[in-house]
Amino acid sequence: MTGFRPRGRRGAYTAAAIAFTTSALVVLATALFGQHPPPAPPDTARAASIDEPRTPAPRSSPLPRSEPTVIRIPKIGVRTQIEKVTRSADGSVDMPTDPDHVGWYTGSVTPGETGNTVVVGHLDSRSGPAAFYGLGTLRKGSRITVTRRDGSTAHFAVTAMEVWAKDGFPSRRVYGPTMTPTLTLITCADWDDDRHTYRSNLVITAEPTTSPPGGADRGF
Amino acid sequence: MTKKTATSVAALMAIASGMVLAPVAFADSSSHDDELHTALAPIPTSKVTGSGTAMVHLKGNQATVTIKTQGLLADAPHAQHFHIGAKGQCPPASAAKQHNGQLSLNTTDGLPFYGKIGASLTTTGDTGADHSALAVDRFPKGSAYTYHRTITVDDETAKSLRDENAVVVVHGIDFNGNGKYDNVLGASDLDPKLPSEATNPALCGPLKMAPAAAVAGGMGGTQSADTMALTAAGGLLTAAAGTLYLRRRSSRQS
Repeated sequence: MTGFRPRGRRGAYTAAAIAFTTSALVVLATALFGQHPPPAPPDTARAASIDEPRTPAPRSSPLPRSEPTVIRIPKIGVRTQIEKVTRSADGSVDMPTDPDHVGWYTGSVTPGETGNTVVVGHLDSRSGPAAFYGLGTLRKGSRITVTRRDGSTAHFAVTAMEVWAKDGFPSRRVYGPTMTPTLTLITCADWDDDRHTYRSNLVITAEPTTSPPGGADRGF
Repeated sequence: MTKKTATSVAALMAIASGMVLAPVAFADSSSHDDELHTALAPIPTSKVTGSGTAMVHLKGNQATVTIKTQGLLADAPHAQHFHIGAKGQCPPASAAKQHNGQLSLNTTDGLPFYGKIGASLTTTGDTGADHSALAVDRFPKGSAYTYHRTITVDDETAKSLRDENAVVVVHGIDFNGNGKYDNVLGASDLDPKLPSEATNPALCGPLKMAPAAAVAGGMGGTQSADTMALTAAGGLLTAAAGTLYLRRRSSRQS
């Protein structure tokens, strides 16, 4: 028994050392051959015309005011808490403190109310993907649902995707009020390797839709 | 390490100077232009199905106002004002009362939420709270209109706007859907010579500062993959070295 234990311990240490080294090699190989930058929005998102009308006829009646609690985007596996965010010192909209959460701008209407609800989220944190990492893979028709404090749910479908450079950002168009309920999601896009910052914003517009038949996003 | 320390000190200094400078920058907020906006939603119980938008560009006491509406009573004047000095909110359905036997919300019922009139958004002439509040011949007419005018507001109204406490209210409803203002809800609480339908609030929106500029929605953690991988691999290799050391130690002991 005494002769067995050291050998057993040595064996375990050998196995652990091999495992750690192999893992290190795998991580390096993945970094070298399999980088995963955030999914890019479609090219049409960059061809957005500034004159495009953005308020078609309403598809369901507006909801009364009630603050949002949870957002779900089944296509990209997002189901996360909604924090409240206010205007930042530079006049833009502040980001949620937790990168895995999204932020509802309290100066905008609540989701489903008449007007433009603004929700912002990080694409990535300093260490990896954040809540809106997959936003670029959404397409027209992708569903978004928001649970509200009064227990009701506002259902939306994506109607437009636009990428706007940070210099020359059309603030009135993106943040401006609308005559019908509208949900605007914003995150970053276009990494600048030299300046180590994102050059653009990805802006997703969604409009009310009826809840899916049979509850397609139930259990998510 | 020295370089890292120098960087940390520089960063701390940048943060500290920002904290000192920031209040100075904010103290000057009344001299630059402010942009406010809101969506105009139907007042609960009013039977209004229309909507609208309002934008205000405020420079000193000069307010350039743009209001767009849809779905209001056609061919009828719609009084519109900045309301100020209360909660800066639109009244909820629970603020409605019985008027002439009908649950509805008149202008007085909404006062605890949107407050008194700060300015009358007339098409021409005076825009005061006192003389033009019900100047029906100088307000926009129709179901869908665009109103655009630069007016001078008093100090109290300018301050209320900057404090995000002002509310745009558009009046004039058709409760019984007969295509005109009548006495279905009795006489107006503001002027007994007018029907209540003509002065009841129809659309409402609290004015909020409009955000400007793009958001900072990323920190680059998925972009500098090389650095991340090197750090991770480095950690794993250290762990491997550590276990090899323990292995040697345990074989010496035996």
